[in-house]
This record gives sequence, structure tokens and C-alpha cells, in this order.
Amino acid sequence: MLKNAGGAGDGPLFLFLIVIILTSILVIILANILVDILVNILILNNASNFSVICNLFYFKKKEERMIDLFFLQNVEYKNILTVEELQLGEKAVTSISGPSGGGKTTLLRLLNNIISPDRGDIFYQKRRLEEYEPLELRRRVMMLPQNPILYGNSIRESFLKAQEFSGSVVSLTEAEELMEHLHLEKKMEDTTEELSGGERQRIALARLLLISPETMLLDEPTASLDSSNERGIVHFLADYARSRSRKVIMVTHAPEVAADVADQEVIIEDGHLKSSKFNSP
Amino acid sequence: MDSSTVNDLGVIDITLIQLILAYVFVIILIIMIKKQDISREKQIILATTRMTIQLVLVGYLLDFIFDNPHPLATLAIFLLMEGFAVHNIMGRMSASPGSAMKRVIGISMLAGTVSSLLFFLVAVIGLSPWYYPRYFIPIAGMLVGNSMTGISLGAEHLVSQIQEEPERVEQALMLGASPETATRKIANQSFYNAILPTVNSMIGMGIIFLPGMMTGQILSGVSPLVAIRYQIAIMLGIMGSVTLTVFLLVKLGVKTFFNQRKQLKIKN
Repeated sequence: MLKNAGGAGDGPLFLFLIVIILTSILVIILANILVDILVNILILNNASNFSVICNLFYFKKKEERMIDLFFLQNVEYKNILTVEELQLGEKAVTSISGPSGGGKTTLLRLLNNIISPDRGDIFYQKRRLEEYEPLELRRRVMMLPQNPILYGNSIRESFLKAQEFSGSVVSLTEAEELMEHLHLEKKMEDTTEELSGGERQRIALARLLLISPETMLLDEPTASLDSSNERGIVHFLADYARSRSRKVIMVTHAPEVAADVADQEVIIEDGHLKSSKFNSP
Repeated sequence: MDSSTVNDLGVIDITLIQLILAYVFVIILIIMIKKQDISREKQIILATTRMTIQLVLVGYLLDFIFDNPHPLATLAIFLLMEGFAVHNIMGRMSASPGSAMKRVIGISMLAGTVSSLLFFLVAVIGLSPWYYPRYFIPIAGMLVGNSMTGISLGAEHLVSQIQEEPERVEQALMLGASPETATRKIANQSFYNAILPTVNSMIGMGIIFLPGMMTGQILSGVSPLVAIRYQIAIMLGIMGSVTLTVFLLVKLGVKTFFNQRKQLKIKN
């Protein structure tokens, strides 16, 4: 009987609680949107974000146009690179190829915010790069240069540097697994001085994969490898990106290897975009 | 009046002729250099002449200022010292620093030396009035001179390392490092390089050599026990001043290499 009485009393109370919680959530969401609009319009003086928020309500309709990871518009950097319009990294793996000195590395450096274009806009997930706090952006979009510095006397130290730089905790057990996947028969205690160019590149690649940022910009990550190793690693990278929902944009000197796995193939020649095509799965 | 009492303490006055005899060293040196065909005699003559003229002028200037103490005169001399020191630092650097770095060098020198000098004069020595030139000027000279050497070494390392190896800094940025983290190793090494001479001189002091100020005081008749107290105090003061100026230099100096987008600015 007591139970029954309690049950009858709890019914409205329970309903009341749910209403309160739902209302709070709604108020928080609305407040967030309001603050976002106010901050963007009043402080940052930037209406584009406002339109992004508005677009949320028509998400279905705009979906196709809004899924690009990077979007470049009228971008110009010195006399090195000019891109009128380019969508990049919509899917997991994008390859960028073209003759050397054509501006591929410059493109990656622009996307990583290591340099800024003289003219034009670069958007990352619909926001201009300038709107991001630079550090936050670089922790989401990291770059692996062609001749990576390992910082550290031993391989272990190099991995720990990743932790210091990126601010994210890394697991050395996972690092060992990654080394295995990248065909590196090395121990954590081995010194970095004795490593060959290809080994250095793979350690640096493992280090980046260990941090696992949402987008990885790789500048010829397999440049110092023989073709059989190269194929294996490119396939591993593609699997890694797809299984963890990460995006990989890689500059490659061997587009035929990348073609196996790339969802988008971009060719840059003489500082200009020559072509960009999407491969069907 | 002062010199006669000092003379009673057994201080030997150097006459002008005796002083000229000291120049024999220079003549011997020049002959040796000529014979060896090292062809650096011009520099040695220039250095000797500059030293002589500068010291004679300073001697008369100090004599006048000590007799007529005035805060403005003391400050003017102090600023002159700072100016020469900053100028000297710029001149010594192999890689030319940018305008922002020049400003940082000036600010660090001024802020570091002024604060440690005031603390030293007011708290440690208890100088009153604060501008009393007989104490103010030589102590300021020692702090400014040593800080100058420190900043020279620190700035040289900082600027040359970042300009020679920008990839080291940039690649750290690419992995999400803040400008401070990306330059930490270079900054720490610059700091270490800068304070090393002071630290080393403290280690050898009293055993390998007798410091200049203490030697001077002993030669002018002060008891060694008083002289070491001054020497210890001034060494700690120098240490403080060097550390503070170099710390400011490194902290502020690193920032001059980055723009608002936290990108490394490299002059091409």
C-alpha cells in the first residue's frame, strides 16, 4: 500500500523533473547560440559564423555543400601558390601530387597555419583559420614535414616530446604497436642518431599517429622508402584514418601508389591547381 | 685631503713618470707582433690609446662629480652607461637583431639593472642619499657591465639559433607546441650561456684570482676583511642583475620571433 501511495505521488514529480531537465537543456542550447551570435557579430565582427549557425536549421538542405574539411577561396601566397577555389579532405584520404617546387608543401603549411596567405580565405570545418586560436587549430590539424626532426636522443624521448608539444597524453605501448605496423624493428631505447632517413620518417609518422589529431597533413611521408614498403605504409595510413575517423591529406611523389587508397586526388603544378577529382569508393 | 690620509695608510702614489714606464709593456708587445707578422699592432695601439684617454676623462669627470654630488648628474652618467652598454651589445652581435629585439635588449637592460641596483644600494648598502656618486657610479658600472656581457651572450645565442635553425622551432609548432614550448630549449641554453661567466667567476674567485674591486680596495688601504664583504655583496648583486636582465631578455625576446598567429617570423 505504501508503495502504491509513493508511486502515485512520484508520477507527477518524475514528469516535473523531466520537464525541468528538458527545459534546462533547451535554455542552455539557446543561450549558447545566442552567445555565439553576439560574440561573432559584436566582438569578432564576423557575420559568416552567424550564417553557419543559421545553416544548422537547414542542415539537410545544405549538407552537400558543407561537408568539406578545408575550403580555399582565392588564396595567394607570394609567387608560390595561387588557388582560386579548392575543396579538400572531404573524405578520409586525400593525395596531393605534382612536380616538385610546384607549391605542394606551401599548401600544407598554409593549412597548418604555419604561414598565412597574402590574399584569400582558408576555411577549416566552415570557420576561417584566423578565427581559430592558433594553438587549438594546430592541435587539431597537425603537419608532418618531409625531413622531420625527432627532438630527443632516444626513440622513447622522441615519442615523449610529442606529449610535451601536443599537450595530449601518449601511450608508449601504442607507440610500440605503431612502430611494428610501420615495419620498424627498433627498440624504445635505441638512439635516434643511428637511424636512416626512412626510419626517421617512420618514427615521426608513428609519433604523429600516436597523437592522433583529427586531421593529418603529411608531406611525402614515404619519400625515403622503397616501393613495396611504401605501398604497405600508404595502405596502413588509409586504414588507420578510416577506422578512427581521421582525415589524412598527403603530398606524394608517387600518385600511382596513393591512387589505390585516395578518395580525392589533387594535382598542383607551377603554383596552380591543375585538377581535383573525387574517386568513388 | 682624502689622498693624504690614504697615503698615511701606506698607499704608494704612482707618479707620471712611473706611469709612463708601464707603457713599456705595450712597446714590447708591438715589437713582438711586428716580428711575428701578426699585423694587429694598429688594434693594440688603438685600444691602448682609447683606454688611456677614456680613463683620464673619466678620472676628471668622477673627481668633479664626487665633489659636487647631484642626483641629475648621477642619473645622467647612469643613462650614459646604459646607452653605451646597449650600443655595445648590438655591435657585438653577429646576426643583426630585428627592431623589436633591439627594443627588448634596451628594456631588459634598463629594467634589470635599475631594479637590482636600487635594491643593492638602498637595502644592502643603505646608501643615503641614494644618488651619492662615490658608491652609485662604480656599483652601477659593475652591474651594467656584467649584465651587458650576459645579455650579449644570451641574445647572440637566441637570435643565431632561431635564425639558423628555424625548422626546429617550426616543426614543434606543427605538432601543436606553443611558441614558448617550441623555443624552450634554445631559451634555456641562452639563459645558461649568459649567466655562465658570472657563475664561473664566482667559483674561481679568491683562489684563481682576486676580483678587481677587492684588489682596488686593498691597494687603496682598505682592510681585506672589509674588502671581501664588499666583494661578496657586489658579486651577489651582479649575479642578481645578470640573472634578472637575461631572464627578461629571454622571456620577451622569444616573443619577438612570433606574430599574432603564433607563426615564426623569419627575415628573408
